[in-house]
Amino acid sequence: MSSKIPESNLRLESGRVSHWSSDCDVAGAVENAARSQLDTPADQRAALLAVEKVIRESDVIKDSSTIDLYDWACTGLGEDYSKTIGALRLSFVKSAWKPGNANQEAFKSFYACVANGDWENAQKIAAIMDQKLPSESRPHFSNILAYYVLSSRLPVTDPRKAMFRTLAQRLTEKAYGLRDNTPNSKDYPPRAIATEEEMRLWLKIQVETRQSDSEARAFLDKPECNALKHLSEGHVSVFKEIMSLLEQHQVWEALFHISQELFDRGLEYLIEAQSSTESEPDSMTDSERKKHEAMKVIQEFTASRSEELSEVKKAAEARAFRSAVMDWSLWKQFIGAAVQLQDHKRALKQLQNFVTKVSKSAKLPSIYKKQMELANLLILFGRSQSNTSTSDENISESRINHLVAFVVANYNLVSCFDDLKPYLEQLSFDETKVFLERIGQEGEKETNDTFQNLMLLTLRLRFRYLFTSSPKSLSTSAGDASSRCNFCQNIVQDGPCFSNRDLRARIDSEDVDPFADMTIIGTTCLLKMAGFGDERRGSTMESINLKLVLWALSWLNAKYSRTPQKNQALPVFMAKLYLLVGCVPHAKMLWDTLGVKNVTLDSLGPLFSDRLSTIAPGMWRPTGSTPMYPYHKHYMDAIRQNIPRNIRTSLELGNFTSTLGLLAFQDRLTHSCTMIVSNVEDRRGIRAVGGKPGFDAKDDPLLRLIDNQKEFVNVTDNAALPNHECDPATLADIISIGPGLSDTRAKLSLFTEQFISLISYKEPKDFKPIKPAQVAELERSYIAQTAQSIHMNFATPFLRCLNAATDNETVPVLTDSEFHYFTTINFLLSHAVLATECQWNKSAPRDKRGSTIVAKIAAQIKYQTTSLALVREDTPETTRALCHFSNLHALGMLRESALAVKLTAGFLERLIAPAKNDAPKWLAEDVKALQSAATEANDFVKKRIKALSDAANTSGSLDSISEYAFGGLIDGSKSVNATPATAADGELETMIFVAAGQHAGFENTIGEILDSWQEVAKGWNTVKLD
Amino acid sequence: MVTFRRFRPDDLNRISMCNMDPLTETYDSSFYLQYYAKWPGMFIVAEDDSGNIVGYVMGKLESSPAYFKQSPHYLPWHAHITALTVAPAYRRSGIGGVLTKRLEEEGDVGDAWFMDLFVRKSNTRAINFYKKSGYSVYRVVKNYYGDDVNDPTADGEDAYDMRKSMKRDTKGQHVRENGEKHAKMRTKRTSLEDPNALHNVKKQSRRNTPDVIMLRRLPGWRMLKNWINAEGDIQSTHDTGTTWYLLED
Ligand SMILES: CC(C)(COP(=O)(O)OP(=O)(O)OC[C@H]1O[C@@H](n2cnc3c(N)ncnc32)[C@H](O)[C@@H]1OP(=O)(O)O)[C@@H](O)C(=O)NCCC(=O)NCCS
Repeated sequence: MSSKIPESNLRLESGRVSHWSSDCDVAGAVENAARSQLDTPADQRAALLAVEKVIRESDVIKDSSTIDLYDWACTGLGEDYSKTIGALRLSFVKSAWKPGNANQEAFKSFYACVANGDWENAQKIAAIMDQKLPSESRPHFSNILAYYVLSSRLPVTDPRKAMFRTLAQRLTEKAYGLRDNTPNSKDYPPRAIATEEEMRLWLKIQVETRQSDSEARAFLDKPECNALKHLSEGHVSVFKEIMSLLEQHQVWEALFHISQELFDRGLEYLIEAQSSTESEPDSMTDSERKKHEAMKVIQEFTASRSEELSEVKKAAEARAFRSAVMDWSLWKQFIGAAVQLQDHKRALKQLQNFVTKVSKSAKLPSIYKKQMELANLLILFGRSQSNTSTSDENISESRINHLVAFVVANYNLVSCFDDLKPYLEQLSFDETKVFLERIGQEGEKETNDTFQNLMLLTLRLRFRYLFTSSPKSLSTSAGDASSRCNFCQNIVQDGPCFSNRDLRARIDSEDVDPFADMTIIGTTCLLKMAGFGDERRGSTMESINLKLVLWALSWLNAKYSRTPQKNQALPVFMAKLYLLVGCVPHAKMLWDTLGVKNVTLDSLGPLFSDRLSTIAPGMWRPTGSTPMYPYHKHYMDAIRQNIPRNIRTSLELGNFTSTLGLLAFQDRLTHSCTMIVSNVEDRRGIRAVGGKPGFDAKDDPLLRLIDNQKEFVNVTDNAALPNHECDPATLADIISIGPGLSDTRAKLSLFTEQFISLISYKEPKDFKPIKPAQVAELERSYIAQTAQSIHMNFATPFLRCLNAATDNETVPVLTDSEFHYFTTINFLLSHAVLATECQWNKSAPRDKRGSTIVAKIAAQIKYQTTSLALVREDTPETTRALCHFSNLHALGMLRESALAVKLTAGFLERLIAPAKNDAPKWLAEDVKALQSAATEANDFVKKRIKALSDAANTSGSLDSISEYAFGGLIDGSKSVNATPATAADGELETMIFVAAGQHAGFENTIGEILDSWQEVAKGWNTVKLD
Repeated sequence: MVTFRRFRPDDLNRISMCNMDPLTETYDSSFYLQYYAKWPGMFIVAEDDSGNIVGYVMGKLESSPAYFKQSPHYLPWHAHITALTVAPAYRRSGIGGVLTKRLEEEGDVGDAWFMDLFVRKSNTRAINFYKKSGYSVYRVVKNYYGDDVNDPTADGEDAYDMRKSMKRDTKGQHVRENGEKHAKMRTKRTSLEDPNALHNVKKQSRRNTPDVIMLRRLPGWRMLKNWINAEGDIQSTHDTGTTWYLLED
């Protein structure tokens, strides 16, 4: 951490003898600050005590450097800033600060409060500055910002919420009025809106303080919201913001109208810019000459306007129009608006005309040419969307023609597939058939070179796969339970191309690799055939065909090791797949090549680290650094240090949009699912190997910042994975251990950790209370209250899961094992509440609600144990044990469940101990039952660990697993050259065997898998179960 | 298709396509957020239709502090490209070109004399790109990069300091031909573990400006008013907003 200690004070620090002083003079402050760095709690809190005393006695510290020093000394003590340092800062500005030379001191106080999230005092300070510095603009806008932020943070029940909102709204309105009434920008008074940032603040406040849709629409209709005026002033971001608001509030007419004007004027500027860089060519065709003439007229037009506009203003306007006219997000909004209009046909036609105009009249860079092609597609699809007769053949033909033309023109762009995906998803089944046929024909043209044809055929394959994942490709006839594929099955030949040298060289020089795409499609198909669906609730091993998973892995591995990667799709895909089969070390090796760290941990980290502790607890050690340390560091640095520092900077520079953006980002990070779940991962991992997490859940420096009522945000970014699934499915759904992060899972995990912290707490050994019975009663009542409140919090997300479990429509958010784990926790929580709330005497009857809880807990554990024993029936005996590596997650969750039961039993035992004679009898019986359930489960886990270890280290494993995967092709009894003709003869098996690099390639893959399994088994051996 | 707009902090969740590329370094949050806080108009992203960030440029406007004026390396008011990256899958489709153009426009709005940047001498793709976009080599900075990506045993790699005149530089005074022939030595890093060394460094820097000074946490020691940061840019305590500043290594 960087610290800001006035040098003079530090000098004093070193020269003083350390003795306690409650004075709030500089010397006292220095001494307290020095003590705050010492080891004993009394020293560390000395400064805080001094601050509290000053506040209690309504003293004022008149020197802001002294307050800085206290601020520094109190950092990290977890006290409420607004009641301590914030209050000191306010009283300083209120009573000690005088405008003049020391203005900076007041600003400093304001920034410090803001950086510490103390908006109450910040607002009051800003209001004083605003009042005392009427000729400065910064305090005024800081004050407005503070009103606005404070109003959005106050609870709805606080009457000041509405008042501050109105104040913010009125003040911005006034500031806008001052600007509007001043013709020349040089003469803007200090409280007028002058900068683009102030303008954006005005817009944000004006819109967000209008609560109903109609109010917002009325506001957008006002002359102040004339979007084109803002654009003329060069404020592109304000213009775009207004466009988004019009879209959000569905003001289609206005939106479309603006597009017309923008395009007309924007095109002038576009042509003007080009003509200024081009001189008249010597030989011009007639049409070119015409165009040139037209441009001259436009040039003259703009030149004549330069009298009105100063050079600078004109340049700003031109720049803004040029930028807006080619802005793709605006195009999408305009086309979207046109579709909604009554006369949408005419509107879309107008837009299409404009596309033609731009494409013809301006010499566009290729990026914009492609944009115009896509705009055409969007218009075309918009037309059929708004068309009443969807079967219009002309439109259908035109859609396909455009799509085919786009593919032919852009086949070598990586983005080609993604650009078209949303349109392809809209095609009817008949259209998809024609489309595929046409691309197939294009890819067989002899006039094309091999690369082009190969690319087109690969794209066709990718499109074909996409359609497979769409319900349109299946039809179910009445009375028939199974679905029928609407396509005929074609097999794509890829064999000979691997050895084509010219082709290889060509691929090396391109950004795209058709073979990588084929491998991804092929292996995804294998995984689906293996039983991985898109709505899995974790690996249910009896349904998964491990053999096909091994095929997929070996094919991917062969492709990965044979050629350099064009992008990261393959390694990310493989890392996830290796995790799925329990090969954590190999997955980690691949993952480490991707450089995921710092800011990308939040969005990309979960692709690797989610549920890691359940499959590889051996990655943790009881003490020292943990696998999740980089996450904690990232969140701590960002939330506590980098964001506050930059909030201050943005305020100093008047970049208010950045201030608001940073505040929102800080709040988002504080409620990030990744942050919470990575924290939980560490807790589970450390517990697994017998350690104790550094903090209780309630004291954890990050977890304690969370507001439970807020929605926890999942920002996992799956874009790094290839995706050929029809929306909304993704490849990540298929190849992850279970459903992705969610608010529900994060909440359940967080509350579970709070519960575990509660029941794990042990009094220090030397704690010997004088009245043990009384203390025990107090303790019970505290625990009862806390457990009750955790249980209440837990209930809401848990109910959601219960509903999802019985409702086929709801997408599950937990794996099966997690579901049983949290069900167990739910029962344990209920039990803890009953046990602490119940009558405390030996013969007290058991609460009715509680009579079956313990049995239910035991049943949950039993269920988890039983399902772990299942393996797919056709798995040969020799590989059965190895199959369990693909189900480590379930083993990990069973271990966690057993541990929670064991901890609860231990907690109840401790509860009973000080009041042995009074404790209800049934409680002691429950303790025994819980202990025995936990022991049984732990015995199962121990056995399984041994079995895994033995299987991974048996000398014949390599052979048996190779034979299991490729049978006769491995032992030589079958030859790859005698290619079988039909699927039944093992045609697919042979093809995959070849693609996987045959004997050597496959053994290499299996060797790596076995190495990983051995290491993972070794890690599991460090798990503490007794 | 892509849209170009200003950066928002949540974009950091969507940069996988750019940052999983080994050529693009992923920094700590302070790096991105300080540009957002200080120069929000100069942090521009290219976003695809699914919200993925497929390219971004980070830039700033600055000049050397006034009392550096006598130094031959004094930099007048100019814009600087700190980072420019386009996702491998989206290269050669014009995104890099649009991003730099937008940044240059911001440079013109900010009345900069020129735009400059540093690029590894071995990064021919980027050098070609910049040359195509109107930049030329102004000088070679010897051993600018501490490590050599191609040869870890080598001392360091040279950088090209490339420039392009902005509108204000009508006479082209801030660019030159044959910049490849002008070399500048990389500033030396001095690590200050011993507080007494500060005195020496001060002397040294007067003799041999400028110097990179890595200050470790030395309670009570004043930061020099200016230093050259790891990127080779001159920074003053003014940038950090505090006069008294202790840096941790
Ligand atoms: C440098 C980089 C930003 C260029 O982005 P880009 O979007 O591919 O560039 P553009 O498509 O706008 O290219 C514009 C022109 O630059 C030139 N150019 C770009 N990449 C080139 C390459 N690899 N080889 C030769 N010329 C190239 C071309 O003339 C191109 O025009 P053309 O495609 O019509 O021939 C991109 O390659 C990149 O992200 N590289 C890795 C990160 C990096 O090195 N950043 C620079 C650090 S200072």
